[in-house]
Amino acid sequence: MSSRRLSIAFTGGLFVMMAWALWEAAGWELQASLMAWLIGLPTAALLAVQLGRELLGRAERAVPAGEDEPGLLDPSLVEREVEPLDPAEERRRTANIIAWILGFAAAIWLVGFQLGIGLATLLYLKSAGERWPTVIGITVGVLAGVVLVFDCGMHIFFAEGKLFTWTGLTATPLFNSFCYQVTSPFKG
Amino acid sequence: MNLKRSLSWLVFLAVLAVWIFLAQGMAGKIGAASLEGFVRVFSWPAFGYLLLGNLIGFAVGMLPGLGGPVTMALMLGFAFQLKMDAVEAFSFLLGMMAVTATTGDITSILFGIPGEGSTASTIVEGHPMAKKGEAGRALGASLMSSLMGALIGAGAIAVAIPVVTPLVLALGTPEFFMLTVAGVTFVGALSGGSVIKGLAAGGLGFIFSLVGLDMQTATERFTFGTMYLWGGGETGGAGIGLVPATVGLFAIPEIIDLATKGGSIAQAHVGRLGGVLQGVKDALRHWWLVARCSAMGTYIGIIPGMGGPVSQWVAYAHAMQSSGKHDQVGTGVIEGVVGPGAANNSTLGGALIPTIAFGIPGNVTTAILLGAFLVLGLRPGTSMLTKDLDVTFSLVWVLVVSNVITVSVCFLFLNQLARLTRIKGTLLIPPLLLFIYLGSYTHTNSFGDIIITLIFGALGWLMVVFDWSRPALLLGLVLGRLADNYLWITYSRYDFGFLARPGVLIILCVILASIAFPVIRDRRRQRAAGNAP
Repeated sequence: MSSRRLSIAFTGGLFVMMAWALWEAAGWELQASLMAWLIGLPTAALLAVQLGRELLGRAERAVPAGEDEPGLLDPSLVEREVEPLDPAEERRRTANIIAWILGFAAAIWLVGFQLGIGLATLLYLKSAGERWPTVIGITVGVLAGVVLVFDCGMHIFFAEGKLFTWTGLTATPLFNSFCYQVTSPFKG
Repeated sequence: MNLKRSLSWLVFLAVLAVWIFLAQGMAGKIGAASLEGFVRVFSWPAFGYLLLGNLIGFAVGMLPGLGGPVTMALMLGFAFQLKMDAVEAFSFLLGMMAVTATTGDITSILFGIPGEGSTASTIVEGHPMAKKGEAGRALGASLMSSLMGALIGAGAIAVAIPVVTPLVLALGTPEFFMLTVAGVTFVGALSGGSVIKGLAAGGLGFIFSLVGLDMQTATERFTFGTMYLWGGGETGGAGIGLVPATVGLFAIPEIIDLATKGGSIAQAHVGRLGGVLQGVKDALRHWWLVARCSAMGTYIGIIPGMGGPVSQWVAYAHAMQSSGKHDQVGTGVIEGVVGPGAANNSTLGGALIPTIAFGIPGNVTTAILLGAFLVLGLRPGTSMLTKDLDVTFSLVWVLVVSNVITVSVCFLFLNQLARLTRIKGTLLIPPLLLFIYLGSYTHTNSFGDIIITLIFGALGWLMVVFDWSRPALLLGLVLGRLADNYLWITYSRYDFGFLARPGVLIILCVILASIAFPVIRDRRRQRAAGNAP
């Protein structure tokens, strides 16, 4: 699908969402719906105008980043490091990082915060081709940060992973509320 | 230009005359309390607690998503466990809060991730500067303007004590409602590519802010039957937390960008990392902009319910409007770094004014601090302005000393901080994802926070791809709940007759002008381009 069609689809999606919001607000009491109507109607109108402009091909041309950079630096001092990417490669990298972002979230959900972050960090760095000492160093650093600063220091409660809940096992003594588990026997 | 300057001086002198008139009866008392407050802050162990607070605030400010208010709430217990007196407790708690906006700017500039909710606007111009290899200059400008803003904000508390009441009481809920709409309109109209897209994004933000259980009517608004979306977080009942949404909108697209482009955050190599001094000079050169944005930050801080998340965007909009570089939004305009840097640091000073004077917290931070006041036996209002005036002035000195210390430390290590942008992107992504997920998770300690971050991350990324204004959407989300409350109170009292109030009409005219201005400007440019040979 072309960039223009994707843009139309995005604007259309926002318009449909706003129309649904107004339809939903119609069933509420006045006090709850007043803001939705007062702001939602003009917003829906603006989205409709934008959608119409895009469909008619009259939308303004966006200035791509970097095309209109102000001359804040002496250009002679600046040396570009990054070459323009091949679109196919850019798409591949984008899909890859989106998968990892979702993967980190899924790992946290499945096995809990500490274990999930640790595992995902290790797998991500290894898949990115980093050397083992770097992989282990950063993974240990990330885990230490979570345990020492957020668990021990700030006493943030980390919920247990769903995998442990489903199987009836528990990771608590090792990975959840580590400090509490370690120090509680000494608290009388 | 001379006329404008003369008028500014005239207004300043008139305000000064009014202030002297109001303050003359308190001069001796203010001087003595100020001196006593200064001595108490520098006494031991208060000064030690101040340094500890600064250290924690420094780290918290730099950690994306983990906001100052959350940390302050967590640290509140320590203050009482250690049996601190009032000045010691405020040296610790306020010393921590006072520096988060300063160090939050560092993360925003270097990584494009808001270190604090109140430093998101610095990303828009600061991060492009880092990407162009101007991290040092952006940081220098940001730190200097932060210091100046914090000093002005702290000074405002002292200055405002005799005159604060009429300032806040002059506005009613209709004007407050119109101000929230004006804030979103300014940012929306300034979204670079398209006024329509900017305003629509602001409207969408307002609608997102309605998600949750309406406390007055018990109506479930856009909750899909999910109890998580009923809300109850720091947004005062709103279903979508500001922290998960902000982190998603700004951090996730940046992570995608970092991983897609490869290499380090800085895409340009500068032979010698300099520019820090130039950044400081930039801030000093734009001293009048810093003063104006600090005044805006202070005033917005005074208005209950608003704060850093709002003042930064208003200051950003003002800085860009007054710079005359509207067509360069998001490309690294120095005014767009200096303005918000000053405003978000002066806001805390402003927010303390109604807290001290009326017991009305200006934002979440001061709401927590108000709790500390009461537990420590301090009563806001007459008591803190008379009997405990030295404690009140110790707050002023904590703001001043904390910012001087933090900015000095930052300048000493600025080169090391700026070099963080040279670290390989692959190595940064896991710790950044940790901060993103942990930062959003701390909102309600629920996996729902992470889902909100992912949803807003996807939305933010699509908005970047299709050139929609993320700041306008975020500002709508920040102000929406407040606007909803103001609107209903206004409607029940005045019906739609509130639109005829003079204050409302003035703000309405300003809103219309801010929408018309970019449209007229673009038409003129198109016409000029059409006439060009």
